[in-house]
Amino acid sequence: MWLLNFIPDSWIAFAVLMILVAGIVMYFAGQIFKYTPFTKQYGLPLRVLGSILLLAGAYLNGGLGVEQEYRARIAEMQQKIEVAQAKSQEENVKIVEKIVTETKIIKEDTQGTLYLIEQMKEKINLGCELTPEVVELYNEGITGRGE
Amino acid sequence: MDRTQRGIVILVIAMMFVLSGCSMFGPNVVPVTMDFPQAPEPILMQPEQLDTLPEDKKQLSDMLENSTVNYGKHRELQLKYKQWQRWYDTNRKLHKETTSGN
Repeated sequence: MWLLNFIPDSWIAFAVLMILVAGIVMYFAGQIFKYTPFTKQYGLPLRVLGSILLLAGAYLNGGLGVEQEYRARIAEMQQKIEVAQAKSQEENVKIVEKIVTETKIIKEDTQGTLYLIEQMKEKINLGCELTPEVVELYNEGITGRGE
Repeated sequence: MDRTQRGIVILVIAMMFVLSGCSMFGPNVVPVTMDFPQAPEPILMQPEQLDTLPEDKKQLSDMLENSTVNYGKHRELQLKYKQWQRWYDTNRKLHKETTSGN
């Protein structure tokens, strides 16, 4: 059935309709031939062939409707996916921009605070010295007790 | 069986063929899938480790400096975490909108 994907819808619709029409025409021609001299012997084969084509045409017509609906759904789905991918990409750009901008602000803030600490170093350290236990406890808070 | 009856039989059979054609052809699931979206590079980077205070640093200002740097790292991670949530919410919504009704 995948071969059908390479044939335009209009061609398939035309071919299927022609099979159905040929079946009907041949069937009724067979009915008429039955009563006319000289062509009487073609009546039965025409009716049999006409019936086969008629049924095949009916079967394919039923299938074609579904196939066309199916193709329309695929096209719709592909279009939706393209829109979603474009929106997702747009959002990614916004996220990157936000991260870059705000990271810069955070780094500037940090540098600002470090500068202030440097300026006030003497005042901060006045009469206060950290013991090794304080440093150890402080580091445990950072790394966790397990590490 | 007269001509009218025969015509009706052929018509009924033809209708059955139309219906069987309908059911035979169409698969119910559309074979189009949506690729998993790619997250932006900055939120995929390894998180920075917090700095520990070297043992030879004995002043309160050293501890304050260390804390300030670590708080900065925390704020950067907080920002990235929020952007992860934003990325997930957006893509989940887009996925839902795209796949609903298929």
